[in-house]
Amino acid sequence: MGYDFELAGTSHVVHPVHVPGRGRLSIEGRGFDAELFPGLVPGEHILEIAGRQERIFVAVRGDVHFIHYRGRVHRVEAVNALERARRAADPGGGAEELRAPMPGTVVEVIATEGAEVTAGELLMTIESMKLQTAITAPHDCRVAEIPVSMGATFDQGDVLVRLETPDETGDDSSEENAEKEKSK
Amino acid sequence: MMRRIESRIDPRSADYQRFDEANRERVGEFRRRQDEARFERPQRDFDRLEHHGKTFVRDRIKQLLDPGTPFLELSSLAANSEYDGDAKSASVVTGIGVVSGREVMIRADDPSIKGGAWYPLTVKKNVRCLDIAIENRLPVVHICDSAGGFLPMQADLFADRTDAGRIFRNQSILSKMGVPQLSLVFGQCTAGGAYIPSLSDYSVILRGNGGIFLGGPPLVKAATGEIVDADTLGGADVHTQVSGVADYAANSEEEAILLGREIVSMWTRPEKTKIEMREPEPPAYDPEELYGIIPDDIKIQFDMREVIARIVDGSYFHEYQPDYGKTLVCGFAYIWGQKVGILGNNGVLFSESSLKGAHFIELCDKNRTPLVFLQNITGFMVGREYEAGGICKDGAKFIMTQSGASVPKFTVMVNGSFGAGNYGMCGRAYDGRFIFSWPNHQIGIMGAEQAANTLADVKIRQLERAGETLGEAEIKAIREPVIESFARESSAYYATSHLWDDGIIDPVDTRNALGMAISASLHTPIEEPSYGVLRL
Repeated sequence: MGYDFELAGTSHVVHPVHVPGRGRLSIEGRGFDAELFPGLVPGEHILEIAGRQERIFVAVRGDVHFIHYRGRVHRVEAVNALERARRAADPGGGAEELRAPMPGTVVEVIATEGAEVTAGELLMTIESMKLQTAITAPHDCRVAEIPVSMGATFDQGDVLVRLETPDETGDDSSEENAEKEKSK
Repeated sequence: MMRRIESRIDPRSADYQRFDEANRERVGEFRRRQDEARFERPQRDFDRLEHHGKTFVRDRIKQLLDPGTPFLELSSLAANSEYDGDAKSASVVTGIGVVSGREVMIRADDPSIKGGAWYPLTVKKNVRCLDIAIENRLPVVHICDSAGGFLPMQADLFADRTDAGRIFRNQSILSKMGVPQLSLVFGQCTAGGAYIPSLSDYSVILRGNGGIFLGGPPLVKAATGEIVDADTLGGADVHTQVSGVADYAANSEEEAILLGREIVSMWTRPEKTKIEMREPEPPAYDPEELYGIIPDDIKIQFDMREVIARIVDGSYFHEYQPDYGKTLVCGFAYIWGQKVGILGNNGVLFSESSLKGAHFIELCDKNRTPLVFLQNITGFMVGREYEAGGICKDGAKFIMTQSGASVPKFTVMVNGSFGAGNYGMCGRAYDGRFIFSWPNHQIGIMGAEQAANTLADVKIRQLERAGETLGEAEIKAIREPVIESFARESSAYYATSHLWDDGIIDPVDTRNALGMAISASLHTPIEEPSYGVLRL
C-alpha cells in the first residue's frame, strides 16, 4: 500500500491483502493470516498471526511505532515507499541555486557566505508586489555565494543564493541510527 | 497511500513565538466579541423574556439539537459594525446542526433584541441561510419569534430582489425541490412573518405566546374598527382547529421542540452524492501551530502547505505540478474522510499559476472532487513582461473554469484577499457553498497603502496640470483618511458584518467547519462539467 517498515535498519515490505471476512498480510511477498485484537489496557494488543497468539504493547509517535514484545522494545518506522525511492534517486550533494520567484528587491540579507546553515534557516528576505518572502535553506548545507546585496533589485529567475552540499552526507545518518538501535 | 507534508516550522524560533502571541490575541478578541454577541444582553431584555415565559434563543437551539452533536453556527458576528452594534448576530441565529439524525439548517429569531425585529442585515442573513439550504438541499427548522421588519429602515429591507420577499420565495423554492421545512412558532408572526410558518410543510404553534396573522390587533382596529385580542385573532387553537394555517398546537416550548424533533424524525433521509471517501484521521501536525504560522504582518509571506498540513487528514497531501506555477499550490487531500482538491496561494498569481489553477479545477471537476480554496492573495502580477505574456487571458481562464466548475466549492480566507485574486480564488461572487474567514483576514479592491498612493497620485497630477504642487502635509492629508477608511472596511469584522462570508472561525476549527460544510454540500447531486469559451 505504499509503506515500507524499517526494523533495526532493515526495510521490510508489508502490506494488507484484501480478503473479505479475514485479515491477511503480505510480508516480503508471503501471505499470512493476521488479526489484531485490542487488549485490556491502553496500548495492549493481542496479535494473532499464522495461528499463534502474542501479546504486544504499542506506542505510536507519528510514523514511528515502539512495539514491546517478549521483553524487548522494537522501533518500527513506517516509511512512505515513494518518498524513499525519491530520496534514493536524488544524487544529493553538489551545487544548487536559489532563484527569485518573481521580480523584486532585497529587504535584508541574513546569511553570510561560507556559513553552514540548517534546513529552514532564514537566508534572506525579499519584497515583491508589497509582499515579503523569506528565502530559506531547503536542507542542511553551506552558503557558497550571495550575488545580491541589501536594496538590490532583481528579475524573476535571478540567482539570489548559491548553496553547496558536501557529498558525504546522505546515507551516514541512517547507519548512525542503526548503530544506536543496536547499542540499545 | 499518500505522502505527508513535511513541516518546516520551528516552534522555538523568534518569528513563531511572535506570530503565536499575535494570533492568540486576535483569536481571544474574536472569542470575546463572539461571546458578547451570543450571550450578553441588557438585564431588562432577559427580564422581559422571562416575564413572557420565553427561553433564550441559544437554549431553544440547544434543546432542538441531538445531544453531543456539533452546531456549525454561521455569521455569528453579522451586523457587528452596523446599527451601533445593537443587532447582535443580526438578531437571528443560523447554522447547521443535527436534529433526529438529520443534517438541517436552523434559523432562529432572537426576541431578546428589539423583539426579534428584522434589520436590513437580518434580512440578508435570513436570505443567505435559505440560499444555503437551497444550494445544499438542507431541510430547515425555523424558530419564529420576530416582531417583523424594523420599520424605521423599511426602505433598506423590503422591496429589492434580495430583500425580505426573497425569504418567502426561497421557502417556496425549497418546497418545490422537495426539501422539507418545519416552523416552531414561539412568538407572534405578523405581516410578512406570517408567511414563514404558512410556507413551511410542517408547523407547530405554541398556545399563549404563538400567533400568526397578516395584521395584528392594532392594525385590524385601525383598518376595520374590529376589536380583537391576539389569541382570538391568530392563536394556536384558531390555526390548528379552524383555519388550518398551522398543524400542531403545543403547551410549552419544551413540548413544541420535542414534537418538532419527532416531526423531523419522520422525514425521508436524502441519498447523498458519492465522492471518494476513506476513514478519517486527524492531521499529523497540531492545528494550534497555525497560530505560529500566520504572520503578525500581512506583508510577510508564509507557505500554505504548512496550513494544509494542519487541516487535512493525516497531513497527507498529493501535490499536483509541484514545480510549475509555484505561487499556487494545488493538490489532493482528505478532510474528515472526504476527498477534496485544494488550491492555496503561495504568492502573486502569474500566468503559469493561473493556468495550473484552471487545469487543476478541470481535473477535479471531471473526477467529481469538491474544491477548497485557501486565499492569501494580493492579486495578479503586473508589469510589461506579464501583460505581454497574456496574464489577462490566463487570469480569465482561471476565473472562467472556477466559475463554471460544477463540483461544490469552499473558500477559507486565511490572510489577505485583494483585487482580482479574490475573484480567481472563489470569492463571494462565485457562489462557493461556504466561505469562512480567520480573524486576521483582510479584504479589499487593493491594500490600504496602495489605495492611498493611487488616490494621492491622481490628485497630484490633477493639480500639476493646473500648475500647482502639493506639499508634504497636503499629501498626508489626502493619504491618511484613505488609509483609515480602507483599514476599517477591509477588516474581517467589517466583512463578516456585511455577510461577505459565512462567519469568522478560529483557525483551529477550520477542519471541523470544512468537514461539516462538505458533508452538507453532498445533499445536492453534482451536475455534469461544462465551461464557457476559454481564451487560448
